[in-house]
Amino acid sequence: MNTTERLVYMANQIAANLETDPNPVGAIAEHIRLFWDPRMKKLIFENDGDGLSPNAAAAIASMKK
Amino acid sequence: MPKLSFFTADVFTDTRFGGNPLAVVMGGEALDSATMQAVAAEFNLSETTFVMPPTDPAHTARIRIFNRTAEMGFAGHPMVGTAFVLAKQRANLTDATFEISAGIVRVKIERDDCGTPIAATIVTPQPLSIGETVSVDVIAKVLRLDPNDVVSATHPPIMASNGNPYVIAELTSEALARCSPYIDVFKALYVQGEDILQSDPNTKHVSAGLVAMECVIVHDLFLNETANYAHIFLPGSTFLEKNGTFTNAERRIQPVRKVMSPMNGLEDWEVTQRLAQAMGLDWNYNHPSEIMDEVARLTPSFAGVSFDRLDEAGSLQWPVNDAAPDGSPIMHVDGFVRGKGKFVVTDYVPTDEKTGPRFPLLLTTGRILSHYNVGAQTRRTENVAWHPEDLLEIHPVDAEDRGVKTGDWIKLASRAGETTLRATVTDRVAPGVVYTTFHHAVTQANVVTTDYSDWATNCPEYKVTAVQISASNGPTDWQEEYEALSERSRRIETEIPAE
Repeated sequence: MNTTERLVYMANQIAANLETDPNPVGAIAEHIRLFWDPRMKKLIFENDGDGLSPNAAAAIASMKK
Repeated sequence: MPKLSFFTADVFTDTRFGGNPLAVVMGGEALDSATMQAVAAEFNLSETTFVMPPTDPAHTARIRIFNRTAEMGFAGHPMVGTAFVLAKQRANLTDATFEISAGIVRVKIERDDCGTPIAATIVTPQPLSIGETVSVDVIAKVLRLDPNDVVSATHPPIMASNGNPYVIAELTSEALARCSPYIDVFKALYVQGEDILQSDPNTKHVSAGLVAMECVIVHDLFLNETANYAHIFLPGSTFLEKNGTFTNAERRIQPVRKVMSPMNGLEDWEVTQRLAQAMGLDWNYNHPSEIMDEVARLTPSFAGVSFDRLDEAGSLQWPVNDAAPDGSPIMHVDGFVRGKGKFVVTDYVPTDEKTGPRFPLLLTTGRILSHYNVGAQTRRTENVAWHPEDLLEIHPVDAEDRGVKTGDWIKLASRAGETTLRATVTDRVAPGVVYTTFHHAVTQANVVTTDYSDWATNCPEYKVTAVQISASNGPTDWQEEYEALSERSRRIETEIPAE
């Protein structure tokens, strides 16, 4: 697994864990905002959503705005 | 020193002095590794090979490859060149099989009508494996280029290996001419009071990283396992030899007072300060209390902490500030920051490390009371009488399936690596699960554990590794190499003249 693949993998795990949250997309974005370092965020933003689950992709898209 | 014959060859060319140069030394079995390295440095060619008798008589030869500074697992042009030299000597050699440290290399030799060897084709010892990508910024920095000079349209800069790892990056042709390597990324590591080689998962990954460093400084009480990779070792001071505080998981800040001068002359914080000063930083603390004063200025929850206050109170539990001048034995008394709390439903996210036909058992690792973590401290005490070695605990059913008895040497293998240790058959573990401790460096349980980690904290998955076990008659290659390295790194090479 390279660094980007690892981050996609982690984002998908976060999404799976927060699946039952009333606002899963918001909760995923909040987790990434609070706990990922700037380099991790930069790498996941550069990735074009490849391999991300729908909720994880939506959360990351919402953070890019 | 024995007299050995050698040949020089130019590979990938039909012109003398063209191509890639190579020296081939025959009868390499007469030399030890250090001499081979010295010979390769003396030739000063990109690579030198040493030809030795094969360990398997069906093979052509065993070959070790050295560049000017290190041994290499595999390299292409030394294989082609060595095959060419041997083909000149052995008229019937058309398919050569070489044993090298990265595996087996098969070479097909082409000859012209007169039987003179003219070319050789090799099959790499390991299939191509693709590793981590490297960011464009890092490549640009290392080559002193602009990020725009690195092309990632075809593929991003990426690690790839078929025995010897490389980073492959595409540049514009114009940038290729202009680039000038400048390796300023992660040159050095300062490791204080932690034995990362033995404690981190996937030991081979950790050791490759340590080997890649130009300077590893280990600052520790003992010559721990990470110290095998250290260029500089700085002795640490024990809790009896220094002033400072320990803060425990109860948030309790406890003062520790020096009862004797450090045997090495300096307290740990002084060693770190000297290193910082040597690197040009203006650190001039006179006492750890000044460092604590700075922590208090910068950290709201430590605002009321000082060595004087600690001496007065004996110990303090943070937060210590205007609202809680004597510290906070209990936090969140009437509620949390957000109110009474928040209950959430979360789904269970299982690990992706899965058992299968090749690795049907689950390994879980842990500690026992008589050793502390990787045992750097406790293995040097009589505690070893209670726990002299790491044992693999296996359920009687799994043991019987595999013909394993208590006391047998077994090989424990996962997707990451393998090690050998002795088995103990017990129903303390469930069928399908095996257990071991990671206290002993000769076992190195973490050679077997993988890079998988927990999603929320990135904690390594020490408790779940898919493994298989089989009977074994000796240590693995890794264990043998590691033992040799360990012995070498602890040897004093130069006699110190008597005063």
